[in-house]
Amino acid sequence: MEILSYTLGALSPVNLGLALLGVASGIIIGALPGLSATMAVAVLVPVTFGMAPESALIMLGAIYTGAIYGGSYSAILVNTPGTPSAIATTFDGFPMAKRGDGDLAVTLSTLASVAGGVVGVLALLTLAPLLAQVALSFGPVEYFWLAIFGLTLISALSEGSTLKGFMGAGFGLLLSTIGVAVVGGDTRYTFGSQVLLGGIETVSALIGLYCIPVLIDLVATPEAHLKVDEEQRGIRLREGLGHAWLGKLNLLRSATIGTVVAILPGAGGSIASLVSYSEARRASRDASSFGKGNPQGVLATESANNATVGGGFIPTLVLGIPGTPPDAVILGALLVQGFRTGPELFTTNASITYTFIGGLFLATCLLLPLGLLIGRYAFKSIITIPKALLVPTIAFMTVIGTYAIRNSVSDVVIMLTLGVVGWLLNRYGFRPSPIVLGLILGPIAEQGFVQGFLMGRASGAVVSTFFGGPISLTIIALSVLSVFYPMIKVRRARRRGHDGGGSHQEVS
Amino acid sequence: MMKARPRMQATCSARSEFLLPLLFIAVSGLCIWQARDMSQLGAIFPVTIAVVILIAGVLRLGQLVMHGVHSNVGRERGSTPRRVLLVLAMTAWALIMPWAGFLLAGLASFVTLMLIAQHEPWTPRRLLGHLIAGAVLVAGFYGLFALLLNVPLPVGKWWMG
Repeated sequence: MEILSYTLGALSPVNLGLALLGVASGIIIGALPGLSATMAVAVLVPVTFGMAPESALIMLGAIYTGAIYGGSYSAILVNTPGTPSAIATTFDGFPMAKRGDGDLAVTLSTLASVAGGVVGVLALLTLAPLLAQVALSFGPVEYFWLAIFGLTLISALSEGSTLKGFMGAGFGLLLSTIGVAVVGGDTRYTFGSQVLLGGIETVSALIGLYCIPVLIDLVATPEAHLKVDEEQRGIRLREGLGHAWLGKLNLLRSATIGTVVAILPGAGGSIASLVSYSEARRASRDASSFGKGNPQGVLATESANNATVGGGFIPTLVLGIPGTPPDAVILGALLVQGFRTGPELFTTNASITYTFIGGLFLATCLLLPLGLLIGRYAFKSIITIPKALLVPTIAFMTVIGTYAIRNSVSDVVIMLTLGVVGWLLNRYGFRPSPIVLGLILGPIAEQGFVQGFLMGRASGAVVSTFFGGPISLTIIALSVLSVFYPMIKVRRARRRGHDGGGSHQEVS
Repeated sequence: MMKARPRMQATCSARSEFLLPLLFIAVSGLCIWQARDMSQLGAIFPVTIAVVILIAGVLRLGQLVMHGVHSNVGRERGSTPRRVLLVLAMTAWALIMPWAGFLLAGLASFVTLMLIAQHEPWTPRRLLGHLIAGAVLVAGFYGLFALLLNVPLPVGKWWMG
């Protein structure tokens, strides 16, 4: 009963107002490529120092929730993930927008974000201490296998040729090794350049690989950026709800994946959304339509990335280990407010913790009206802006967004270079997604591998270090399944006589 | 009798389908060569990845030789000069920004990109409208990043004396 009254404390007019403000500003910041959820939270942390602890936390949680959701706007409308968590939203969101269903994609993203967010918050409310223990059982080796599991998604992400996908992912992995090695401190592949010493910044690379190719193709033809229907169909809520109802299992599965991935420190929303996308594709009867504008793809990724908000708070609040980067910033704010993380947050300071969880739930619910409203205007503006204004505006967002990450012009040049390389590779059938996957998972895989190798060598059992633990074995089994399941599925389909003859296209 | 394998369709030209795996093989070779100067711990991961790329590249070439490949004649085309101009304009923008400052470089690039992206003829009204909108957008972004988010945007070495 006490928990309920604490949770309802989030409904005070002040907290309600702060949640509304937080969600709205989070959506706007998250929608701008280059401004991640971490940056949104970090920039606005000082604003909360003078507030009551629970109100401060509610506002930060609301900004975080809004920013993660806001990333889907640019992913859907301009093929550029506003935040890294929205990478997988581009796969089906942008094709939907291109064929004239951008409004529906935004609505689906809103509904999925709300559903995923609610699941994440409920997990935080009910399973926090239990799930936090899972995070503790993950060591370097388990992280290595988790990254390998992530890399097996290449088979799902590479349309046409899987070998091209492997080459692309390898290229991304090699890009991730540029600069000073995390373990050992070697300077790698900098070719004597000071600029490359700091490595390739992931968000700049994301902006380059996804956004610059769109710009290059935008200027090449006079046709409109997105297909515009004669008849304006509003937010298409009824249609969106229909898709969400059809994909209820997909939503629930993706939200669960998001929550579980988020409790693993360092994994984050991008991995959660990629894993859930792959699972949605694998479970679908119409897997071939994924990547071509399947609404279930948008539902899966957006549900998963918003579930990471609640899920990420589980290890943050229970163990003091931030599940995702924005959680680390919020953890800092929590410490500034004079709170120590740990079990006492759920006992002595239960009033603040549960009010915060209530606030997070409130912020997630506020996504629905605010998201649909802002999303409608975002869609309308994108389709009505003439190309001569749209191109420089997007270019401006990419340049300023990239510059703002490390205040570095070199990052802008690297972003542009990667953009041109990405466009060329895309033209020859190498999709950007495997490259990005390699770039994101590279450091996690390398760190886990080298640390595991050192641990194994020290104990004289390298093989059992990598293949001994039950978690490792489970992830290895899932990885093997992930690689071979599509092949088994194709073989089965061929046996049933669904194989189309003639020349097979390897194009997107 | 054995059934003839269907020929694969290239994403672009048939020649490029062969060229790209060769390029990846060359990149992986270069990475393996460069790893000679690294410690064992530093080299193990990039070398493993380079070997995987190399194998994937060779397998891809084998696949292309075995199946055969024909060019994709129906692929999308567009204005290459405009594409090149866009890349050049954005590169010049990035390079000139520390010298001319964010605002001036931004405004100049905005106008340049606007001209590159416009396919229809300009009317005075349209040009004026676009210029005003561009100025408002640049000012808006400047306000958001420099004033609200405190991002230290370059002021310009030319104006700092």
